[in-house]
Amino acid sequence: MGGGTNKPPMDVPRITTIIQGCVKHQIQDSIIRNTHFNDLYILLMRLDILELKQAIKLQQQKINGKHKNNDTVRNINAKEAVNFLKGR
Amino acid sequence: MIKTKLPCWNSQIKDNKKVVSDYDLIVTINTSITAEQKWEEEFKEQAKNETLFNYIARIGSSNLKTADTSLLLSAFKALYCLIECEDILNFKQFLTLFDFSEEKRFEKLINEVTNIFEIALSNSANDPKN
Repeated sequence: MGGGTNKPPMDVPRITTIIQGCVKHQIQDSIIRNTHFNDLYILLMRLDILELKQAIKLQQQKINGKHKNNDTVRNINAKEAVNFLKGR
Repeated sequence: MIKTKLPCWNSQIKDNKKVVSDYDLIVTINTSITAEQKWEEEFKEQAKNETLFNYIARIGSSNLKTADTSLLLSAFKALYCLIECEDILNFKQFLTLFDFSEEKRFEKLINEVTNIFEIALSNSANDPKN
């Protein structure tokens, strides 16, 4: 095979991204067909924003949980593991 | 889906005279995702920059009656994507439904086009500018 071309990556059509969003959020076919395009677009954006907010909230809860217990996790080598088990 | 009538006309020569016959084409205004799909498939260059409805919101403020040829053509591209009719096969054939030299009829058509654009935008619960 010859050398690679310097073509820019293909732009994903907007419509493909929207349909992908509809599949991801399980939006019913009847809603897709009967809703104004602008309303559908905004609905998908709001669902994505909600998903991100929930992910951030979950991450915050994990961090807060760690600080509460004052527990830290670290890797140990085999010798340290044996000493720990022997009670040294 | 909202139905409306698009004023059309065809001209022919009869007994060495130009005879114009008017008729109304019943079309359905489609504001769903399929309108945007048609916009992206048929007019890729315009669709790269903005959605169909953003485009209509932008050109809607222009006076189409005094617009130049390029703006008029763009308006008809948007109109073609917005409407559905069994008698309209493709964009080229769609443009042949109108004779742009007939001034009064053309003005009537432009009024209807502006009306269709207003309906298409007002049908949404959201303002595209937001």
